[in-house]
Amino acid sequence: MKSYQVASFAFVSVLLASRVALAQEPPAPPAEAPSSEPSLEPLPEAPLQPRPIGVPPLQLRSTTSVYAAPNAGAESEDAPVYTPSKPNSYFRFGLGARVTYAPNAGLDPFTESDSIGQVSLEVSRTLLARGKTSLAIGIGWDVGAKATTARGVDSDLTHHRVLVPIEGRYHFASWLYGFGKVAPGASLLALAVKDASAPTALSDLRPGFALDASVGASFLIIGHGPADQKKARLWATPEFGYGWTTSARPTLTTDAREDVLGVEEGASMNLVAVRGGFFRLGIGVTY
Amino acid sequence: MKNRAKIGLFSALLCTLALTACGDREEVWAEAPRGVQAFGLRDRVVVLDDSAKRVVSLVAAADQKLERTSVRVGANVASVVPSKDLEKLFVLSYGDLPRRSAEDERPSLTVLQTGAERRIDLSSAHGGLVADPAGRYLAIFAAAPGTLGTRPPPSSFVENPNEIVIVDLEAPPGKEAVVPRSIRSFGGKPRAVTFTPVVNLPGGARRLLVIETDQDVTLLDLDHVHDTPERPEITVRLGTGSTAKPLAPAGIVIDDGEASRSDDTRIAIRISNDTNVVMLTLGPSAQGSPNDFFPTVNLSDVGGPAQDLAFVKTDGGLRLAALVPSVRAAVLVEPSTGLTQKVDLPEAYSRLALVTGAVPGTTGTADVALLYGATTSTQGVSFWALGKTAGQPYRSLEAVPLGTGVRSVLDVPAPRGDLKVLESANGNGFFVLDLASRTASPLVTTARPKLSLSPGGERLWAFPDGGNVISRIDLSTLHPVTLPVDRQVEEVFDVTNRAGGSSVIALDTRGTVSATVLAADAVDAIGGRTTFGLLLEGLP
Amino acid sequence: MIRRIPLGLVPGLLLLGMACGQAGESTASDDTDGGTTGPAPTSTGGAVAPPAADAAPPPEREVESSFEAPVATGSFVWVTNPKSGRIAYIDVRSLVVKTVEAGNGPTYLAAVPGANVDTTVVLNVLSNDASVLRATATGIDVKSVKVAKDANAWAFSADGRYAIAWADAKKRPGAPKTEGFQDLTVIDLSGATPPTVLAVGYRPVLVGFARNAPIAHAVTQDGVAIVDLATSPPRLVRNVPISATPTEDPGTRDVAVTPDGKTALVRREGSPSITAVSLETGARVEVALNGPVTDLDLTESGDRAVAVVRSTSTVAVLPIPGVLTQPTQVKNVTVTGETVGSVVLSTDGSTAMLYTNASQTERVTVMNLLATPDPTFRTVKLYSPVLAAFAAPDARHATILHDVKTLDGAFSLVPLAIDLPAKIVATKAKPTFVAMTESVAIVSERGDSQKIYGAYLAKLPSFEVERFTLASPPIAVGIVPAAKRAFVAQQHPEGRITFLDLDTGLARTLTGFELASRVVDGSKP
Repeated sequence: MKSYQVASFAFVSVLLASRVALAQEPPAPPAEAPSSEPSLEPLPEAPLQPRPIGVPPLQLRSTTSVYAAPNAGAESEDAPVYTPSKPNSYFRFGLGARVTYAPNAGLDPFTESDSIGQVSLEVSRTLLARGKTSLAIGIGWDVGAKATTARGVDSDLTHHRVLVPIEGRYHFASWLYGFGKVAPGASLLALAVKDASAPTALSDLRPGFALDASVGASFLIIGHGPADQKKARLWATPEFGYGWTTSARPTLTTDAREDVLGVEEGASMNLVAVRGGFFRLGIGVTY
Repeated sequence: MKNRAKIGLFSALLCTLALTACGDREEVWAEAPRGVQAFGLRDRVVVLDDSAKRVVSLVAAADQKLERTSVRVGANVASVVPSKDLEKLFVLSYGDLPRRSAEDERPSLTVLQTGAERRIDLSSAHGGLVADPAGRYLAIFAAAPGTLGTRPPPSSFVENPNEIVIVDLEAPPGKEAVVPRSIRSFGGKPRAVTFTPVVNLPGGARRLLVIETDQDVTLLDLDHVHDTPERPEITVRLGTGSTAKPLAPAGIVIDDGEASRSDDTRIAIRISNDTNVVMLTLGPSAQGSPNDFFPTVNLSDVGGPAQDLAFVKTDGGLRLAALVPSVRAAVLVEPSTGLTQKVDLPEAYSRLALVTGAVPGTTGTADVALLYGATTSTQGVSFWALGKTAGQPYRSLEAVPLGTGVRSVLDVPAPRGDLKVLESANGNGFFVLDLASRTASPLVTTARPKLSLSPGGERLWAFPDGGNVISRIDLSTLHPVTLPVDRQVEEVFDVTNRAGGSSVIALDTRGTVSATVLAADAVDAIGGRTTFGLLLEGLP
Repeated sequence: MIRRIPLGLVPGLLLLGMACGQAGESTASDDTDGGTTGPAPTSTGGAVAPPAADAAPPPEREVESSFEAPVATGSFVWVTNPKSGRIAYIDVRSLVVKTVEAGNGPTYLAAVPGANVDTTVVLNVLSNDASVLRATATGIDVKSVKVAKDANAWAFSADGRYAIAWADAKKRPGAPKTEGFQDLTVIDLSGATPPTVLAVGYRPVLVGFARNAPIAHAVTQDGVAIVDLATSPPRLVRNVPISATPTEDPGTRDVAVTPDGKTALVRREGSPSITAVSLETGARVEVALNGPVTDLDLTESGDRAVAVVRSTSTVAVLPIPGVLTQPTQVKNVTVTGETVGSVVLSTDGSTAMLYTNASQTERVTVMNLLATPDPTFRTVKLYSPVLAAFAAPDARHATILHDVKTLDGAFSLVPLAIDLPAKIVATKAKPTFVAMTESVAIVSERGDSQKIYGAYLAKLPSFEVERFTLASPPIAVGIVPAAKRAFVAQQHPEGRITFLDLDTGLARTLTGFELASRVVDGSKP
């Protein structure tokens, strides 16, 4: 993918995300929050009694007049009962689709285009929550595979990333938070070629170190309510960032190397590294 | 969630999908290797990978590891020819046809040798390439696809069939190195070119390029190819002119004559569709002629279409020997007078190889020739001692019955030049012919073998095409050793390895090519090293 | 015997035999079979048995040549190809072969003497015309002229101005009696006057020109026709009878005309007299000799004739024109102890070689005609019967062909100027053609049954002889002194000629004239 395309995509994504962030309806008022506003109807008047001399005046609990809402008595009778929890602090289970654009020549035998799609699974837990900010840590697994032909023979690759995302969040509202994430971890690239001149497929496994850095936002889809209410919530989370892995030089050898007469020397391929921008779109469930 | 947010997320999803289609890989990965062919040089095997515009050089290390190096060549390879000394490889490329942009490649010639390569751009595309045995020149011309190993061009294009491009490898880069010449044409197209050795001509010693078309023979003075004004070539139009039948040349032989004379250089031309042999004697030219030599023509009727020619020394002097299998005879032609002497042969031999130097006891005054045929109808070979032609030609022939015809004769390199390997026509094996003792030792195979000789003449490798064993035959003892290599073998090359020893490289050219390297004197394949997927390496 | 072709003349003397072996096989074979090809080998003429002691000896055999190609001029050898209608001309120095278009069926080729440039003329038998070919700086200039039909021979004036195309009946042995072959075509090679066809007497046997006079003559069975070339067009001015007996069988006559065209000498087979005829006045004189005249020859200068009477071995020297007025002024020399029946004169007329081929005589007699008061002679011993003799132009040497009864043959080289022994050279087949210059002689041999063909090159005066084997039957030999080459034309469908370098003795053969003419070296577009 050309750089200008990446820039355009990033720009469009940011634009769309910001529009989403900014183009919001006024939120519905939370029903369970006690109102401090005076009620609309005055309470029934109590007859006024002369106060004996020497009796100090009544101590009022508040300086404000208290008015009861017309249904105050009734509401206080229907409000749910929950144990408030720390707001913005939860477990999150995420599932997403990730596409990494990794223009690496070493991958050309195994993929027709420079993009690699992966399925992402992630579990995280908020460690700290202070006001609108929170910090979460988790574990994630991205896995994807591609198959094509390389010089007329079948080839495929499978890429695993096991990451430890460390995510800092800013909760703009109860239904939106943005985040920045750094996720170090490990990468495993499995490469294979089915060559007619070899008795079995030629393959190699290349582990390495991986690191992702990304930003994104989560939008609450289902589960609106008090932030401190512990309940399941469904989020939509677009995210983009940059993934990086260490490079390695695969050496393709047969699967039955010990059966080859003599010594087998592998086919030395170009350096492979899955590095490049990525975009992930996922859904998450928090609790 | 509100609509705008939904729209935004949907757009983000589309972008994600769009991203999956971004990026292209190099075109080389998208197509299978095309035109894979292996060539053995003295110290390496070179595998042509035309679709990747490269050759892959395979060099054996001392421990039988295989060193692989990619070398860029031009697009659309037309022809690949090794030099006679097996030190260089010449790769002729058509380039990108047709050229549509400035980035498209022009036709080119790549010269590969140990430690160096050289790329020479050409102004026009041609398919035929012939290397000078002396290693100095190359001739590039429009050979028909399928002839001389020429590959067809990638697309149709206009080609001048009478243009010969002469490349002088010893000239400095520039115009002097590449000389295009359009030779005179009377309707014929070049089919073969031959570089003569240095011949003594009236104007001095020089080399000639002999160009055979389908109806004439042209002589081009190589030493004066740069002259200004251009020195014209000499064309010998084969045909009487009284009939429309053109005479098609089918091969030439050259003799320089006596060292003290400059007017007795001769070129004999075999005609495929006539019973005559044409002999050109290069003598002085007329005054005012642009060339300082001129051919006089002599026709000799040999009784049938000659299948092979050679200048031979006999007890009566120099003769042109012509093999005429249609009459089961050889005909000796006296060059000066055209006098012919017919020698009846026991078989319809169609091939002749001079083996004088390899036969001990020959004093150099008369040649000894090995006669063999290419069909199963002939039952052996014969030694023809040309020193006994006068009066008793029948006593000059010694037949060696083999029970089968001989398809080809491989010359064993020095120092075992006294041996020849005869491939049998029936495909059941081959023979090692000892010229000194005139014995032929048979080696039987279960399938038609492919044969490969070591450059030093010590070993012969035999293997069935596509089989999974190779056999080494020590030419001193004729002891065969069979080495299983566990995979299909299509080519075997005996090369000098980095340590100066010998290794054998067996190739499986299917798919992306694999190679097995063994020590040339290995007793089994356990110590061998195999590399698969050679054509996956070294690509951008 | 009258020589039709001066066999010992310089340069490039040829004994022309059959037609060149071009693709016109029929022409070649016809000539091979029927033509007089130099000294007629016994294999074709039949064995000649030695005469019985009491029987009359057979007539001397005539050794003649014909005009068929190839011919040599100063720088070229010309060869016709009747089938293709082309003439190949070979530069004798460079051996470059070129061809030029002639008419239809070019067959009878002859070199024009005395021309400034190499010039030949050829009769195109199928188109009844002739082509005149001149070698110029830019190539060959070809002009076509109409000739009378059936022409198959040429005669030229000494200066090369005039040529006469005529029909020699001897080349048409089966022609009916009604075929008179009486038309001659007089061609002015300078182009000043158009060709003129004249009718002369019945079946001419000889046509010639007078030296230093615009007169041509044709010896016919009706007499000698005199043509005046000075008039325009040339015309027949008179016919001079050469016999008092009109019914005399003309086939028994040999007629020779002096180079000045003024005198004709007639020998009749079996007659002891020679008739001398003045072609100017018509006067006839009978010169009586002492026996039947077996041969008669004229010197090149025409100042004398030599007649031989075999029965008495007498040589009679007839002064010309003195014999016309004084027929008894004849010097008779008897060659005692020898049998002589034929004579060959040297070019300068100083020497005569006398021999006989009617018997198995192994000697020749060399006579010095200039000796005074009378010619002197000496006999040279040979070792084989004489068939024919040829003298070199300088009369210092001669080549004698021998009549060997077996399949092989022999020839001898005879010093004439010095009394030295002759050298006999055995050949592997019958000798066929001879050409001589002062320094070299070339003799070809041909044995069809054994397939033996060769040529002998003899150096004079050393008599060193070298044999060259030929691949095909020889049909003509010649020498081109200017190029220092001799050549042997051979019978081959594509044409074959072998050139022998006179200095080095190296042979070079060209086969395929048409093919060789198609070699292009870029020198001309």
